[in-house]
Amino acid sequence: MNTQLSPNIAKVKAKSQLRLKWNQFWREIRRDSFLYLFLAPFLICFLLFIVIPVIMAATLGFTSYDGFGSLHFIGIDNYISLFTQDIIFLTKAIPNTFLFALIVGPGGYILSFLFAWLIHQLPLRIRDYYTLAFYAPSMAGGVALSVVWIATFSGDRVGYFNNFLLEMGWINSPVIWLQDPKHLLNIMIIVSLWVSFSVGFLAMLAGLQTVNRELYEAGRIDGISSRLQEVFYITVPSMKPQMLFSAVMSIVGTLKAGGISTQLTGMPITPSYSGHLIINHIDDYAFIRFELGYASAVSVMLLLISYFAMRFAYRLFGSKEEL
Amino acid sequence: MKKFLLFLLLAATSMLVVPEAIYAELPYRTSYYDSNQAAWLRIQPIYTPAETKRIRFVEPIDLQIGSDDKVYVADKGANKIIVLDNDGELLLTIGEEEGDSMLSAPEGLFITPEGVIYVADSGNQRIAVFGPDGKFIREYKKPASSVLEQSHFVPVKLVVDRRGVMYISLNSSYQGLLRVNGAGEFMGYFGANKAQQTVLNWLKKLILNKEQLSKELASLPRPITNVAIDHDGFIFTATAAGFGQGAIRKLNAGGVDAFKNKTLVNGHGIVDVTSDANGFLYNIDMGSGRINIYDKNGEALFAFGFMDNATQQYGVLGFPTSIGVDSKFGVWVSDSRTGTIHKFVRTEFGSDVMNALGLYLDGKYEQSKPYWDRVYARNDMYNGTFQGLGKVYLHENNHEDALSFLKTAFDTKGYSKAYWQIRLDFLQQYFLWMVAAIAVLLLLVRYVPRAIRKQIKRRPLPESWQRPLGDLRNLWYIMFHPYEGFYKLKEAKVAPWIIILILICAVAVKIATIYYTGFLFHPVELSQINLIGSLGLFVVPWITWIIANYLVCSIKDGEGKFREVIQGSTYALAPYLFFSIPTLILSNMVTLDERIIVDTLNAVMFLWMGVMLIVMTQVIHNFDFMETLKNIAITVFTIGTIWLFAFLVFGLSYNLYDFFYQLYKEVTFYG
Repeated sequence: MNTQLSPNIAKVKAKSQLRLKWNQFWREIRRDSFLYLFLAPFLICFLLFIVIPVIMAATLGFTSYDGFGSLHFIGIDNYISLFTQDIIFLTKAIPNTFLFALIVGPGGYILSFLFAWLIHQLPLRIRDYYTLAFYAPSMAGGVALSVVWIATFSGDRVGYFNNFLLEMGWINSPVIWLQDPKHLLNIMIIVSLWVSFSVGFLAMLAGLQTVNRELYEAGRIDGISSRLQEVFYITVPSMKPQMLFSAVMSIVGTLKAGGISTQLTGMPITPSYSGHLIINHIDDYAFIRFELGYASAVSVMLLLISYFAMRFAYRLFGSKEEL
Repeated sequence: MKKFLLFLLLAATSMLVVPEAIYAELPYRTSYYDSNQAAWLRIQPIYTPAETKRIRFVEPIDLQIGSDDKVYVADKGANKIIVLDNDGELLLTIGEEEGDSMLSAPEGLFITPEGVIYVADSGNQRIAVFGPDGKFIREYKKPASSVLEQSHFVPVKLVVDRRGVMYISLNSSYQGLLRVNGAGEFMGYFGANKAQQTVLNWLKKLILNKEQLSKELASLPRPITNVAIDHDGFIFTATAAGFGQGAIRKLNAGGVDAFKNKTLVNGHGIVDVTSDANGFLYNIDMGSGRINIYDKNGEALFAFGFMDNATQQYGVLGFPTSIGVDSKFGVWVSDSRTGTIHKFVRTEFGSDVMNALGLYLDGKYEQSKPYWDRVYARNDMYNGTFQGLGKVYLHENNHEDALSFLKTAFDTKGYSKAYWQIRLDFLQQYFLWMVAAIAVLLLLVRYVPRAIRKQIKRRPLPESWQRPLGDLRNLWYIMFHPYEGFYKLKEAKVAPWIIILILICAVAVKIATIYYTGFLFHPVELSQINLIGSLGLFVVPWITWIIANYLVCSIKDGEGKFREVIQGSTYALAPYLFFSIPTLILSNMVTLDERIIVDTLNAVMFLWMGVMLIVMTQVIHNFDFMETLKNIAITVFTIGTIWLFAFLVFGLSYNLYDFFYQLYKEVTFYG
């Protein structure tokens, strides 16, 4: 009898402990219910627009779904075919995204910092105008893109760039910049660098203003002799949070870039996939072929990639407490 | 014993009976152009000189082959057009002593498919037209046009298209070809070369005013030296200058160059160009002194022939003036120095190669295969075969064979494609295994170091090990904290064996990268590698850097001792040690699509090493930043000086040694 009883007692004990904890939790929530009311708008939005879509995408990634019919659960077949069958993804999307992100990410980040720092040196009166001038391209986005860059890289001899090169005698016939697979990705990189002065740039500019001016004087007493040392020893360490935010933003920005190629070429798929990024691949499968399950799988991969890139940024710029 | 002697005797007699090898070598070399290696390599003859009846000419200056394989030669010295049959037998002579058909220094001629002969009669300043039988038909004088009033009409070369429009090259005219229609009316200029626009000219245009500009030497386009027309009606113009840029242009009816002003290999002094029925181009180049064969895209294929001023030899050219190809792909060359016509015929190997190439270039890979196989049987050193067969196998999805053939041909692009397919097959087969392997590897990387650390904590190493281990660990630390790391290094004396160990590791890694870097990133024949030379290029700069850095910085008030400079420079190699191995492994795994990964790693590595060296100089010598940069600039200059000095010393002492050696030989010879 005893032997039968003792496990029961343990179970009851565990159960009661769990209930105890649950009760305590519930009591705390009721006590702080007023605070949750304040949190609610954000929490609801976060749930609605971030958590639920991500979970849905992750689930859809295991299915075959065309948007109309019924879902078919197919396990990890999508992922297997992504890495073993999808030649466009393997030969074009991944290398292109890698090259693109590698140049535009750090390049745009460094440019952002450089220009934020330079603008910060300007007198207060004109600083805002310069900020606006630099930030405007990323605000205007698509419209400015199609007006400025398509005119610049136009394939006929009146396109600005062609015209300049012809005038200089460096080329003999106009180059079709935007339709030529050789040039498209490079032009996309140039254009992306131009629009990369976005939120990250603003954050850095704000960060530069938070740096305590007294630190510079203290540093000068301690033997800092050049502006470069000031930047390296005082400015960058003081604005680490902003640097981190900016890095995360630039990672997300470069990984989700993809509209640029569509806007520049005017085609959903770039000529011979020369400017095909992962986002274009997702667009292709989701909204042209309506293979939503597969597209979800690709987007989950993109999520994973950006997660690991973010971890890397945290390791570089985050302080020890945040890790 | 007897048997043995008998055998010896037999062997000796058989040696006498067998005729000696006689070399029927051609008086010139044939070579092919390997575009993957950008080099001319020797090959057996594609063309051999053929026996023809040797008619003497005075100054044969132009040569054309009619559609019936008759050979027409313009003899400028004899004022005659001479027609030969395909064996070089004289058929007809055109050009009387007087009258309408009298020619004066004819320099160019063209034969229409119907056999009508157009002659650029430069002395009489006209185009004379003769029938197939040599009867004078008509002449074209200078067309009446206000544009042409200023210029002389001295036609030297011409072609006539199907509509009877003449494209006439005038003597040293930079405006291009004169286009005259069948009625003798001027229709404009055609296909002029582009004037060279340089940055200097552009600057001049910006800065100078009109008067000054008018005094500048005008940059005129180069004159066209020769013209030809091919079976599709494209007009080729040859221009003999400009290092091969636009040396041959393939113009359509609108005057647009299909070669896009392309720079041709061996195109420095193109005299004449012609094309055969398959679209291959044949030209004579005075710059390289050879006859070149290009494919229809203007890519160099073969070069043969030899030029010599005082040639007495059959098949060697003196001063070639014109080239023509007949319907059997025989190449005819007129030679004005020797006053002869040379004929070259294809060897069997040549026709196999050219057939294979022709089909291959048209993308008919399957059909080209038997020809490639025959070429391969005759020459297994010709890279074109490997290239061609490799592409055939790639086309047939036979990736393993394609891989090995394209590797032999050094075709990195094709190799990359084949390798990608093989990698994909591998991936498809072992995908789950690979995922598992990666997971296991990640777990190992996470937990094994922890376990080792725990083990060490439990059983600490002997005291004597602590310092060297700390020094080695510093190698990793210094990469991420260069300032603190080098400062530590400055305080401490690292044991020499550690320095030597690091250096040996660096050299070992260098050797590994020389031999085991993936083919795509290091496309060389492993047996061709000069190990000492490559290692020298790695070691010598490093040593000179140490010496120069120490010398310069000690003069410029640097605090660093020689020992510290050596220590610092050794530790600055840390990125090389840690980056090279992953790069090496990756270079064997990625294709050209993903080469950005390897290139980035390499770029980061070198940048990192540069930063390490800068920081090292700054910390070891206690400089401030700008001072460091200045000193490094001086150091680099010093390195250059040291090398120059060493080069001079070695050169001069070799000369000295050579002098005494020659003296010694002289003395022993007479003594």
